[in-house]
Amino acid sequence: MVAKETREHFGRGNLKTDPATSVFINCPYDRDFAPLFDAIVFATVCCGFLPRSALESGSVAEPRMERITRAIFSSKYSIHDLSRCRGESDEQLARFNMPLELGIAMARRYTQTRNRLQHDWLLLVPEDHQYTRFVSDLAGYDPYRYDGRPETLIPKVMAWLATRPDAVATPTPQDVIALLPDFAADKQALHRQWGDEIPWADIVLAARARSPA
Amino acid sequence: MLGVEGTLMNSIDVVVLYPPSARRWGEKLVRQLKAQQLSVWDDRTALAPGDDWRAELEQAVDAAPAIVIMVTARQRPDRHQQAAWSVALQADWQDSGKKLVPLLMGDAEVPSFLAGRQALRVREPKTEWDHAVRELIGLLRGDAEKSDTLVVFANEDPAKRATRLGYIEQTARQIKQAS
Repeated sequence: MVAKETREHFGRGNLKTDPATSVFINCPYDRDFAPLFDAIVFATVCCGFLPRSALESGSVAEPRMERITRAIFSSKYSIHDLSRCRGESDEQLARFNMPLELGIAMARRYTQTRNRLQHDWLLLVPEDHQYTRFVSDLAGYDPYRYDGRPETLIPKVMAWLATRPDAVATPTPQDVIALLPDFAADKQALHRQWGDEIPWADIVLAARARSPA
Repeated sequence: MLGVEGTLMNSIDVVVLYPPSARRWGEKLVRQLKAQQLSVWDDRTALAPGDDWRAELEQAVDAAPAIVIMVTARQRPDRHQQAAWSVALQADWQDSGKKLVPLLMGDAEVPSFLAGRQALRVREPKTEWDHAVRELIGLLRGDAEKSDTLVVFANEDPAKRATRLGYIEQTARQIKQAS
């Protein structure tokens, strides 16, 4: 009988990661948001955390929602951006994957029985974004607001990560902002090689290579 | 700009942040600093019901040249504390002249974001408190002396960060090999 080959998946088995150092990033993946997504990923690595994402599993034979839930459940931290929760295109439809995944993260917090691994999450919204009008349950949670630029986003993400119990000493946001163009250029090179299917591990390695020691 | 109790935001000398578990010491510190003619802002007494906590705190830490952060060993910081720390840290990053002074109670560990700073360690608050407050005032006024016994450097082993970055790289390489 021939042994069935099984593919290893990020976060499981031999590729199991430490939840206390994992941060699930729930942000738009479109081209317009790419500079901000890169800024969040890079800042996360510079702060000594492993970024996780729905992109990490590629196209595997498992429903996307299950992969996302598994990634959130195996990360102690998550970062959520609601920028795209607004009317877009002629149909004025908003994207609601991000609030859905934020809901999973919020629920996860209440399923933890061990305080040390209790899930914690950060909510990012652009300035003047009226998210409470369509998801009023979030009123009362203090989101971190930014003006849409990586230069204002990075200090907020870093300040949040740096004050988590599992943090290590971090560089300054100024240091990270100065190195961001190099990471962005490396990611562009990966994009030329892989198109829109850059392996998540390669993105993480590129960020690690540019992180201050 | 006026805060509660008529405190002019631009006249604040120091912001004091302390956890609920150390309320007794935190309130005592605020009283003693005020007795030394220092204008003190703390979020437990300076806010009125309905105030935007974060906005008020951001204004206060932006205005104050110094922020004292009390850290205890008793329990892990709650989300409110961490949010306050985050605001303080951002203010420190924006203004290199601002002083962030850790006040370490008992055998409290230094949180990583406070590593590399001059701190005050108060191992026995019951007997060392008044001495600690005098040394803290010296630190805040920039005239800390070499003989100050409670002033320490809150260092973190650099290997801790190196190990963490190594873990990130190793994990990513393992995933790359497996795919």
